[in-house]
Amino acid sequence: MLIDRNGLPAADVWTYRGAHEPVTTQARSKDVLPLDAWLAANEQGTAPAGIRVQGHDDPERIAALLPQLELIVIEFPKSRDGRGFTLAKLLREKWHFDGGIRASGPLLPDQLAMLWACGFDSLLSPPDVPTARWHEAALAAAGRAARPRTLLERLTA
Amino acid sequence: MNAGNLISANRLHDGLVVWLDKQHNWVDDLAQAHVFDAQELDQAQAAAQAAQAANLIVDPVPRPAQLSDAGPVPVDFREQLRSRGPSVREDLGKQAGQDAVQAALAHAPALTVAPEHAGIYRYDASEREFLKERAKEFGQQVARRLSGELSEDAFKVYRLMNGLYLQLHGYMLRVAIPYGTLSAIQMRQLAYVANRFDKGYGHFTTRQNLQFNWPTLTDSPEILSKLADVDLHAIQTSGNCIRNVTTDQFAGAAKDEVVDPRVYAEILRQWSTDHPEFTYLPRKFKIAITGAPTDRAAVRFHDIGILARTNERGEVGFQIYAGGGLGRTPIVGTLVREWLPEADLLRFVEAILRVYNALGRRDNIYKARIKILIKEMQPAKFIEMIEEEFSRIALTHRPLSDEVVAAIRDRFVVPEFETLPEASSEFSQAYERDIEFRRWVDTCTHEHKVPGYISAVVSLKPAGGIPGDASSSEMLLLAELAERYSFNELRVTHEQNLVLPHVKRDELHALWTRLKEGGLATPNIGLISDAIACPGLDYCALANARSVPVAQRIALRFTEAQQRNIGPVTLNVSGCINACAHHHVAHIGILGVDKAGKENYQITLGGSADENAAVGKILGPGVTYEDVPQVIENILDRYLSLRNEGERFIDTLGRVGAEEFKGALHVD
Repeated sequence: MLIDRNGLPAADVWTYRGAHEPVTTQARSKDVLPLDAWLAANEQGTAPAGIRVQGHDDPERIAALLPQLELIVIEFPKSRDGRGFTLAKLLREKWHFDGGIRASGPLLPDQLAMLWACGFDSLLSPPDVPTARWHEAALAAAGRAARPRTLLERLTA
Repeated sequence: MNAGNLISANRLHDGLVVWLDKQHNWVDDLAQAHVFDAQELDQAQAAAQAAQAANLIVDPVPRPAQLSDAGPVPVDFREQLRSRGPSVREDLGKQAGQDAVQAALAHAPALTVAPEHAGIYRYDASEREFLKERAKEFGQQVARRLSGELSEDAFKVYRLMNGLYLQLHGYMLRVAIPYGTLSAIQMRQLAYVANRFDKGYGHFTTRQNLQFNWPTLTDSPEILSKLADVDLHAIQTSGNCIRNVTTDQFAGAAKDEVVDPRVYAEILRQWSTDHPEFTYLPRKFKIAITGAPTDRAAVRFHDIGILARTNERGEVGFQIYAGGGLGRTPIVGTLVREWLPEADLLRFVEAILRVYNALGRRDNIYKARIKILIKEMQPAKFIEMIEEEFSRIALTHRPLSDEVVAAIRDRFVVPEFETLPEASSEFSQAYERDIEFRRWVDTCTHEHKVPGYISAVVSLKPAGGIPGDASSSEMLLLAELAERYSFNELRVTHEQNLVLPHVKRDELHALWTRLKEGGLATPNIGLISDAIACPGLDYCALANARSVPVAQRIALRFTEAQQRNIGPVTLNVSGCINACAHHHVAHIGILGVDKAGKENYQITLGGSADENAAVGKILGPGVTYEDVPQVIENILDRYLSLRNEGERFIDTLGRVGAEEFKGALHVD
């Protein structure tokens, strides 16, 4: 289930394809391929506009592909594995990627504010999280973002 | 021969230790528990799994047991302790019976109105709202856990982020005391929480925190809310995040201080709390900062260690160490930056954290700390990477401006010190006249930067006491004395003592008299009985051996006069390799291990946590629980026979070498 920036369920125009699916994507199509499959498709000139990477993938490797991408799905293997946060942050701040960055994996609603703060703008909800929790979390995150919490935040905002 | 297995677990809502009885009901009295034989065990385990799935209990495990006339007897010492309570507090836990504790608790008055500013650092109103909000959020998370919406695994992330552990006898809440600074009103509220929600005491830790050992899960959100009323919290006291920033207990008071490190510790606290990028690191992350040439914060044994100093132009800057640590792989930190300008503090720390978060190992919990990353990638390469990341973000992130530093500094309540002469005749007369007072002054005070003032250390290590424990009545007395004698201020030391930082020399004797009445004037700071001890197997789920009674028995071995004669020596006792008591960096370190089901203790000599940072070396084979005090006495006897005039234990050891002490391990 795709959850948008506002924490609401949204229609998903993207198709997520596995590494071994025998499909041929079209160049710049709204398909998401895992990194290696994407690179293979790119060899054939058929790389889609979406890619799925892991938090531990080397950002330098992804950086070169950014001009061809509209969506990057970052996979969190565990809710407690925070590498995806740093990866998203680097994609936004170091390489100035302005397409979509989508989180996927066993994420927790209370992580939503952190995801948004690191540059994610949507997520794929794990099936066991009630959808309403994401909306609650998004409202809380928006409230918090609008009001600096600490003196440091206020003075450096 | 074992009769079979108990099925042991903790009850979800209150953490209480429970066992399965014959009918597969959970009972909290071991006598009613059933020992399942091989045929019955599968069914019992299935019942336990079902109870876990039904959110009644957590972590059910089979524990071997024998049968006696009085009922089951667990084979493991750990399970025996779970069935009784701490061996060092027979008045607590199951062994104490139902009424003992409730009857023992006096009721501390609750604060009826939350004070506008409670701490020595004055929070923004929005910060307290945030803390209240977090407490409320945690209440919702607890409700979702109890209803089963959240599994234990998912909930654990939230539970740990709020400092709530599940320990040997139940839940434990670790309250952060940022850089060890407490106000009188905060101390009072801790006493209130200890009485209202716990068992009338708290345990001060080596990371300047406070642990409550008996809260229930259902009470915890309310405890957090009560703490928030006085600007205290338990955020990030657990989990793989940036933990409480620790510092010198005499910060802002010490005569030798160059820079007040609390200002930067507070900046780091604000920056790291709820940090979006660095809350799910490979492993926990500890930062310490000091601003004096004498390192009282053990900065070289932290993930990041910061030495604040000034240059020839009087500007503040920092020397930065990274990758120090204890635990399984004790290692002195690597110097990664000789001089970091004040303005770059957060940008540089961010660069270190980013490199660590991206590259730190996550495949093996024992290799996940930053110290292993630095070792594996080589310090030079690590430094190159953080400097590269630092120069990148230095282009886009704003520096920490003078104005911001000044604004945060202004939020610290500055005591209104009087202009006093350096010498106090009242003090000198008392010092001359009263030998007992003199002995306390000689060990328990520290020079203050303001003439006429002095810092007083309150020992939480009375003979036979539990290192770091303070009862609620002691907390209340100290709150009162802080108001009366120390501008409302208290400090927690990483040696598990407390400090009244700003006492007039004129009033020191009066203060001492009050402390003495309250049993808080043990004159042993820096002496052998001022031992650091982790909770050990008496409380901790990770421990392999007890540590508190080891420290107690050593302390009781020496009279005060003998301790004074031995002079300064540090003794730290850890109950497992995680080294919460920092045994590696003590002059005499003791590590408890499990040797074929028996407690066994390894002795290390020559560690040091200060500016001469060193990791102690193992002296030889481990010794039994019973023999530890004799071995320590042997070591100190050997020292007394070897020492030159005025030579401290650590210096004699350095001169003659550890070989000279090996014989001490023999006990007849």
